[in-house]
Amino acid sequence: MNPRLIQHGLRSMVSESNKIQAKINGENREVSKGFSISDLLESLDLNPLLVVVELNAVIISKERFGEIEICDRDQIELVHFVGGG
Amino acid sequence: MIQEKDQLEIGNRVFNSRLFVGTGKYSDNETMVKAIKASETAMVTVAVRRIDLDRSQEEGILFHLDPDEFFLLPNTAGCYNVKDALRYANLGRAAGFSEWLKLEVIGDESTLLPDTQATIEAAKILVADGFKVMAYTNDDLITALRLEDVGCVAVMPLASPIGSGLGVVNPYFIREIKRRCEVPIIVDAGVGVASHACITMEQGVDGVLMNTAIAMAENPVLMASAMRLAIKAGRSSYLSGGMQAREIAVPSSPTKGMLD
Repeated sequence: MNPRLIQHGLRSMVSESNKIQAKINGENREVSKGFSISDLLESLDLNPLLVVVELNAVIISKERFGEIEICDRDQIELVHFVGGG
Repeated sequence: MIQEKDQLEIGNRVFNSRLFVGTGKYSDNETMVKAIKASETAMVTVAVRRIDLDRSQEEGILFHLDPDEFFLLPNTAGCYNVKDALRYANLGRAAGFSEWLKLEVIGDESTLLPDTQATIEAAKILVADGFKVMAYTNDDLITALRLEDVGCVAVMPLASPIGSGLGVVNPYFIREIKRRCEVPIIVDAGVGVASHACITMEQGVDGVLMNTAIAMAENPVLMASAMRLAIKAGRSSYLSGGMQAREIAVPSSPTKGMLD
């Protein structure tokens, strides 16, 4: 086998192992392995005070954002208040 | 004279205005804030929705409305069953600053009329869970009584379908609901112009909640001001004990003392 392909394959395996897949607001997104909810919000430039997080249908209190690690295939909903009647 | 101390109490909280307004459908947030201020409302409703991850967080309402200045009432708009209503209610409580909730469970997409059975069921669960529930319902007396029975802090019958602007289509049932329920009655939905708001308040209800009438007016700030005045006028008109209408003319000037 072409050594360059092997190298490429190894590199993509390494890069894949650093990422997990999560469904965020209905979209499949890659998230860095080890990311907490706080890390995720920061990476999306969202103010944690203005966001409510539902992780696999359970609401997560803001105090726990830093300690909860996102796992592969987690379903995450990020919601906030918008105009309504 | 407009009564200065005509306060409204709902669920042990006192409100200085009988006009409640929604925050949806405005062309821009600056107009929304100006209209809300012009209405001098005591409570504004908000919805809970997904954050658009590809857009700025400025679309969030808390970016524009200070919760210390305006009492925010999260709603369950868009929910068609008990499960969804409970989910949105809990998200609203987590996003907000209180246990207050405007509960609506819709039963029909074209009329947006409520699913009253599901509304009562959801209200019962939410009240037991510590929510202060203000429940949107139709102008049906029995549903209103049931919502009061399960512990809602206010019952909110519609004037006419949401966003229709038809005004109060059944004043008799609105009066009957007010007469029979002990909790405050806030007419929610259907008011289109200021005269509708005034006529609604003249039925003796405790307040009116509206959104589209203000937001979709050509000049929302001016309409918000008109609604503020109409609510006060209607309330004073009701409290003044107006004359009985009769289908006969009665002269206002003396019939005696006319010249030969």
